[in-house]
Amino acid sequence: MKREQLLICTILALVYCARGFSQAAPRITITGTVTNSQTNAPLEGVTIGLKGGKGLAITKQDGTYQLTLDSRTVTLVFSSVGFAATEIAVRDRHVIDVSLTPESKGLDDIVVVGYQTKKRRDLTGAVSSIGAKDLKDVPLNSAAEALQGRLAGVQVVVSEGAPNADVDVFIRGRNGITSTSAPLYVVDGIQVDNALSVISPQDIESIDVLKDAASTAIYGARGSNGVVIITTKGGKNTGGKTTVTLNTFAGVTELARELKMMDPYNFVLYSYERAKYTENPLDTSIAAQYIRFMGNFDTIQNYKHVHDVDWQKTAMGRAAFQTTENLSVSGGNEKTQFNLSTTYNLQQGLVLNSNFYRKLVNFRFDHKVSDKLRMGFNVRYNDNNVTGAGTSDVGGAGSNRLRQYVRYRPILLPGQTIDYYDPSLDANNPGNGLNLVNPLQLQAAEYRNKITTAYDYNGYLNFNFTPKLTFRSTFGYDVYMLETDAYDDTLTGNSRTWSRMPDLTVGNNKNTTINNSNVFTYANQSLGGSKHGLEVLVGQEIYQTNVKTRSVETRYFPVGTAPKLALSNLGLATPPAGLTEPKPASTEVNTTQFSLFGRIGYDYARKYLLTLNFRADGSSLFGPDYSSPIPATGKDHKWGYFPSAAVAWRISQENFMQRLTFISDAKIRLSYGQAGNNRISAYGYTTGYVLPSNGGYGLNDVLNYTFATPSQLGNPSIKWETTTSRNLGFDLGLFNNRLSATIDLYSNTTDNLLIANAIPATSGYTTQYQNVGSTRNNGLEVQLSGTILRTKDFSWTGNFNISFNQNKITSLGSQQSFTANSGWFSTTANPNDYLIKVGQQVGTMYGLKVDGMYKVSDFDVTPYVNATNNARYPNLTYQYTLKKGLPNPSAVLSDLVAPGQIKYRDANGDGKITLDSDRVVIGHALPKFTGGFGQQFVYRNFDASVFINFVYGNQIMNANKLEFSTQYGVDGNMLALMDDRWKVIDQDGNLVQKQPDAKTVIAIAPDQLQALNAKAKIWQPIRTTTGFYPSSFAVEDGSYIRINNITIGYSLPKQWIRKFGVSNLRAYITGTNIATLTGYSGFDPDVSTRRSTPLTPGVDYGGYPRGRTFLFGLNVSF
Amino acid sequence: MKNSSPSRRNLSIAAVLAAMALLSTSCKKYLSPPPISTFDPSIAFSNLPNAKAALMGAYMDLAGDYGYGIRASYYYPYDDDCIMGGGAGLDQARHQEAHYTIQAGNADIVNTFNQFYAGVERANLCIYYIPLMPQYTSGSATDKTELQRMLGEALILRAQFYFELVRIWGDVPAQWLPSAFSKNLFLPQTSRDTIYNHILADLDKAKGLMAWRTQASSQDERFTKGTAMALRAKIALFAGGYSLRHDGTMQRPANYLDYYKITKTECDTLIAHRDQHNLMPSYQSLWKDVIDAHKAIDPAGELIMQVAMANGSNSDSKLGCQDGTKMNGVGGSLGAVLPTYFYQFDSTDLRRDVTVVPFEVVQDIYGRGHNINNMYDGKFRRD
Repeated sequence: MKREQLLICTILALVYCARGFSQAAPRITITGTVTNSQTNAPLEGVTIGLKGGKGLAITKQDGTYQLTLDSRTVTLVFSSVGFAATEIAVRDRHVIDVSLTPESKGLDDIVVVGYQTKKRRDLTGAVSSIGAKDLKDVPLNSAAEALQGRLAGVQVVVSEGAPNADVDVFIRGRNGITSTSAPLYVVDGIQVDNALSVISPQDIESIDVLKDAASTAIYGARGSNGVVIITTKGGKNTGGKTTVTLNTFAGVTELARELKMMDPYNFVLYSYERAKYTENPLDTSIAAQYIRFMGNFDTIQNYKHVHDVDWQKTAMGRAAFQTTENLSVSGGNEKTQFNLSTTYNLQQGLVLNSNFYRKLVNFRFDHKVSDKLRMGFNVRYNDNNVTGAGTSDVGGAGSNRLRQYVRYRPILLPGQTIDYYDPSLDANNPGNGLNLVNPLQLQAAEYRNKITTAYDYNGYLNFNFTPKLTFRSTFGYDVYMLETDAYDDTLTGNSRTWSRMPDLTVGNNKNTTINNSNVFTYANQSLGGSKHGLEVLVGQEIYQTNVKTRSVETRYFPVGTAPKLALSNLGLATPPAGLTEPKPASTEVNTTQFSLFGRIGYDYARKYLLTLNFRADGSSLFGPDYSSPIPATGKDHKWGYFPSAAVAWRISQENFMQRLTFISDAKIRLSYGQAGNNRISAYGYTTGYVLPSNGGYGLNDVLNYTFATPSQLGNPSIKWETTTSRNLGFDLGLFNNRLSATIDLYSNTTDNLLIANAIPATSGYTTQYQNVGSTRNNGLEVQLSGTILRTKDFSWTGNFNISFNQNKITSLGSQQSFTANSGWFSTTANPNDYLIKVGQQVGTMYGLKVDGMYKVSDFDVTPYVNATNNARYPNLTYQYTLKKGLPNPSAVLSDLVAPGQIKYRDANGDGKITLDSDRVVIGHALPKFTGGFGQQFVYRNFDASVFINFVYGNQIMNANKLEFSTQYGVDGNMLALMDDRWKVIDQDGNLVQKQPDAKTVIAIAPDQLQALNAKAKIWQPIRTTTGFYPSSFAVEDGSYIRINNITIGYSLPKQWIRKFGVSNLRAYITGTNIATLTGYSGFDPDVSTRRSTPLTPGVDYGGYPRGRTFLFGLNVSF
Repeated sequence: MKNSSPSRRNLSIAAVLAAMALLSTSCKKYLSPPPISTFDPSIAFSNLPNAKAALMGAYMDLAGDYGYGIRASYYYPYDDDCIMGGGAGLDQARHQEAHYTIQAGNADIVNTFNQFYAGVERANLCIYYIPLMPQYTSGSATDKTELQRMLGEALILRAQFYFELVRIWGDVPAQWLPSAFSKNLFLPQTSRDTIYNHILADLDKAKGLMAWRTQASSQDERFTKGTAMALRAKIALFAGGYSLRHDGTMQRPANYLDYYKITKTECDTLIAHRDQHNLMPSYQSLWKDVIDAHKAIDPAGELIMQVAMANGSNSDSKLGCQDGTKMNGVGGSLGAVLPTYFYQFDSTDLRRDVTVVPFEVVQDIYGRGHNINNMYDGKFRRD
């Protein structure tokens, strides 16, 4: 860091000197008036500056200005927002009058829509865009994260804080229920499924997001969730000059927030309390670790002075280094342009042993063969590597690691080192693999390596038959390969299951995609010289995928085998007598799609615009199967037809609007249309037998060749789901587009929704794809941008967007509701925690309502007479019985109800509390609105930007809190909030409350028990898995406002760097995730870790904590 | 010109139609890539080995943790007059099952229910598709015999699944065709009497399709004619016996004697075929030398019906591991044999000491004695 500070100081000093020199030169005075070339009206606020240098003056209200110069050999630049900048050489002039020509840059921006580009002014649909300029300030390695909060109607949910974490992008809410709502990604005309993770943000020229059906219908198939179109950086016509650009940044990430856990004193105190209460030998032995004998209650005090071990800091609190180098070489002339870009990323994760490495190469080449023929190609190569087990896992609690880093005992006992392996903890498995292992030992024992190799080749050919008629063919071939290596050494749960010998799983995925489209475009802006403009596009497309997976699990490696050695010598594994290796597994699935489409665009005087789209898609995902030897029967469901229409009226072009000179542009857009979706797994129309993962039926003591039915029943009548979208939009530009606003109102309904619907298990299956559901998403999006202030040296531009979306499930076919399990603890052993119900949103959380805890006043207290127990518990002379009339909670508590236990609400008032009838809606994972607010400042050579994003109105199912506040296992630490628990011991360590048998609760006198717990804020920790029942205790408000990014940059004056052959040199520092304002108690409110089904968004369990990053970077161009 | 134009037009229309037809068939082909990793029934029932694999799938639903691996064989049947079900914690699934205190969080119930219905579906697929296989009607004599046996096995499997479903849940939904052919999957409950009658008829049919043990295509753990008869005899006893009805009363059908007659007939036939099925000379040997020694069959054919278990998470059994004699802390944890049951045995009855273990093995002490209220079941044991 020090060296960088020094550099900045030096730069500042140089700037100061430069100013000092210039003031010493002789003075020349220039005056003049600046006018609007169209209206001849004087222009106020025009900045006049030296070319390549600082601003000198600004025009007054009457358009006049006055400035002084040091030399006559300079060129002045006249610039104002909404006008083209004009350069004038001073030479011998004293008066320079200038008229500026209005330009409407924003309206001329090129927007990529389906299979063609358009100027923004001619758009009829709802499209949001972001360019390289906005992306440059976000030195992130994930393009998706860079989009967060930037675009109206685009919600980006990052699953956790890990490097290369999965990201969910939702455009205008969620249309699907059980299927993904991910949009379609199109990169340079080619459909690429995981585009945002294989492309470096530095290689992106622009991203256009198509939101309404008028824009997406041309993609018909798969366009219903919106389309994200990415254009990568190509070369430019630089007249043969080659530009070399280096973008580099490096910095550190640190843990932004820790969970507050119990300190050693409170931790030991609870161990004692638990042992005292349960009188269980295991619990007593745990407490004895700390105080030797249960009689030594007074020695617990000593732990107030014991140094606590902050495991969160130790295991995932390092200053994680990261660096990115992006070098590009680009150039070109009129005929040929190229851009070669290479990127190297190295990012350490906060968690020890978790690292991310990525190497990217992107080469784009465009060539004009003749006036008629243009062609180009693009090659992308991506090699990335994620190591380390991270914190979260798709499995249940037993395989999630965050709990290990948070709950491990916060003390080192005498003789223990920080990586001390405690075999007793390993043995104390309460069930479900929830024992604790020393975090450092565990991190070393779990070797994980995820290697992604992806290469994409795509090219195009563009032939102009006439200037008006064009043919374009685009071809893409993408290969995406993923290898996952997982090696579990002897301390891990997996190894424990397999004879405590190391276990290795190698998985290979290979996805190959071929995409080809052929399109004819006829465009005539003025039919026969009239004001009628016509555009016709017809085309055809094929899209086919091949997915191969292979997985080999090899168990029983010799203890002590190193992961790399095991990986490269699978034969080392030797099963002990009587045990066998599991069978390898592999699959291969092909899908195909054939589409025909067309678009007609008509306009009158560029004022009234009309677009009609039509697309027909045939998909192999729907039946019947014509390849089967059995002749196909039943209706053909392969084809879907998706029309759309849109109109726009550029009201600002009307004569009556011309008087309102402050309105530079106004447009009303209206669209209606349909798009389809087929994102389900292949062969959903038939029921295929599968090979059971464990081998087969054990006839005659060997696993036989066996076919098992899958969990999903085939449905021959499934067909395309359809999203009908209605959009009303307004575009407004004011004061020469200095301010611009886009407002869109929409209502999308998805019908025939393909749902993996729950079906009665009596069918032998649990789900079936059915076209039964429908959802509705209504929303409002506002996007504002403008130049807030502009003086001669200073400019301040800002943009703001906000999106409201309301999601509702309007049909689930013949049923009204079903429930789903996020599976954070276990998919089967914990009650379902999500509700999918007609009238509710997707992501509705479902559980018991917590009403605090049982108080003394909830009980009838009678003297307790029982010879044995009175002798054993002489102080506990009162029996506590739940008052008559209060609901009976025995079905949801593992212990008999007692004062200080968690109290759930009897929601249906039937006098007993049961999971079946008292689970209610306890939260919603979808936000009410999301948005972002970005500001950019330029002062002379300095630039700065601040970006804030916000999410409001969503809830998070904080399963971490649920687990970390219970005591199912032994010797695990708890959240510090449990310090204020209801206590069952008094200040002297005496037991004050007890359940001596299944039917009795006894305690000290009610007033004493009440007085002892007068300050208790929370219940006694639950010691069984009933503590994991989904409840409102776990649900927290997930709203937040985040200062996502602050960047300050300085560009060295051009005259200084030109000598070194450098055309641009900018240094910057940037901080990301600077501060978050939220009421959420977990690590970070932007979280969703249970993503194996889209039914359970917004669960925070085991999520990788998010860090705060500070980076220093350089942009250099030669 | 005038003459030629219609014919030329016809020709071009024909050409266009032909092109369209060609395009549409090739398009259909293009949009139907053959399944490679999915075996739909057309592939599964295309030859004998695959059909047998499909049958093995139905068998497999008997095994594993939620089948007779442990839930159906140990958790659901107890408490009864022999064994008290285990599990001290009120929240423990097996405690709830043994003591009729099922809670919503109990995952066993739904898993067993689902697994047995998956078994019904797998058997239904075999029962539907095997007779449609060309080999069934026009194959070689061996093929025909084998396929008939397989159909018989599928019928027995379905009968067993329904029998167990009815035993645990009473009146349950029943379907006799693969679910793909069912218009409505939300089925009402079917009376147990109807289900019993249906499976008794199925078993009668299965009997005729299958060969006796020694004449079967393979002598192993698969079902044979004897299985069909024995199961029919057993189910008929249940069908004719008392059971708890919806109105809360215990009732038996008026024609219960007809069912008892079925039992008698089947048992008579079986007993008359001592060459096929006979008792082993030693009771202990059956357990020790055959079952606990992982032998597939016994020489006498005393094992008439078996659920095969082998290593594999859904194909194994916890019997003999979690129950049986406790050895160095492992085993003996499922239930407790009741003293009353122990004392029902004559002290000279050799079966008593096979069935009940009143001791555990600790390190090298064979037989550390136990209290009378803490005895293990001993048929599946390792000592």
